[in-house]
Amino acid sequence: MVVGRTAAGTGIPAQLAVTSDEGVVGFLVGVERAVAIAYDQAGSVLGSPAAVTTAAAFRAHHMAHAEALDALVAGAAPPRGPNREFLATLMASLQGITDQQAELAVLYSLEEQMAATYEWAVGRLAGPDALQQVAAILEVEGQHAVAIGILLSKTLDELVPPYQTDAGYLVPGDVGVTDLG
Amino acid sequence: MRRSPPIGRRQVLQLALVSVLGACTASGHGRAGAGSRPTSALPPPPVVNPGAAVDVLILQTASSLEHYASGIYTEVAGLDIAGRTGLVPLLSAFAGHHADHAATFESATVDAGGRSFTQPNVLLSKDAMSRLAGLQTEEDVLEFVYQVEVLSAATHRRSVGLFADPARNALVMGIGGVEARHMTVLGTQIAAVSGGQASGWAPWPASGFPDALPGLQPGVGL
Repeated sequence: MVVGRTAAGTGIPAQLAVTSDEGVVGFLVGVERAVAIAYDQAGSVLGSPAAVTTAAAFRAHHMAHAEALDALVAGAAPPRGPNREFLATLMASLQGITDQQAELAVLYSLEEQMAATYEWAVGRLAGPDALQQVAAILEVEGQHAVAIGILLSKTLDELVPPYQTDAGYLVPGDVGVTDLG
Repeated sequence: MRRSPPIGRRQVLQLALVSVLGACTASGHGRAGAGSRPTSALPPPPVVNPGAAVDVLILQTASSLEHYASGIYTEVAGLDIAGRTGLVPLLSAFAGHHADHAATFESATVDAGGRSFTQPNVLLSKDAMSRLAGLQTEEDVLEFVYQVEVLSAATHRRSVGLFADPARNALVMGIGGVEARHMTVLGTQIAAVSGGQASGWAPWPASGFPDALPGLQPGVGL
């Protein structure tokens, strides 16, 4: 990753840095698609109207995020599918859960991890288009965590820390992505 | 990957800042009367590192916004309606967050080579103070601070990509992300109070993306 390299004397990120944006954005696309599939799986266990409605909306959000991010790198690569390793991990987490609260707890942790992952990504991107899109999605992932946390009766301190950090972000190498460009 | 346009938002901001600095210098910082001629033949001082100057301006504006937000929450928490409806702990907690955020932006401003901005945004405060007396119900209070959070979140989000130092992108979204969380807490409570009828105060955007609001422009209200 080349952060801070600029085109001579302009303060503008050089094209070299933009190249690495493709890797980071592509990683996020695969993760978003995996999360959307996980929501499909989770939907069968959720029973309360609030939980069902919320999960359906958030699944759609994750699909929309994947499409918006994929559009940023359109032409550089064919549309990306879900990150298989991450999806397998998510499915293993959800397998065997028959209780709504336990299911929501998994989704809550997942959304917190997504928010942290976007915070991590913002610190690594250089192109303004990618930065704006990722910043927008970061906000919404954090909002997902709060909304699910409210369903779980989390305390205010748990729902809203003073700062969004990248603690606990999804490490690309842990899900088979070893080259971010 | 889509390429950036030839002139991006950051460059526009840099050019605008250079123009302002140049105009101030040429007019003797506004002291010369109409039609008067320049009293000095000295050339204007060179603008050193306009990128850093932009960073400072953005961070100072963010500080002013956070001081404003913290002050609003503190004022609202002191209203009778806040005490009667049990909102004080929530309002105080969010006031504390905004105070922390202001301090963070002040520190970042100094790190960027500027002078920390320690006052609430003048433009926003003038309008807000006139509205405080009109807050009569729990819903009024929640909607009022929700609007503060919308502006704050939009402003921080719009700053991303404008900084000359890319490390500041994560800094500003570490705060912008929290403002969005505030919105979800407030929006959920508004829905509960209003019986779910208040569609203008959504806990999260139905589209999955925040509205494309402009936010507070750098330098406004300082």
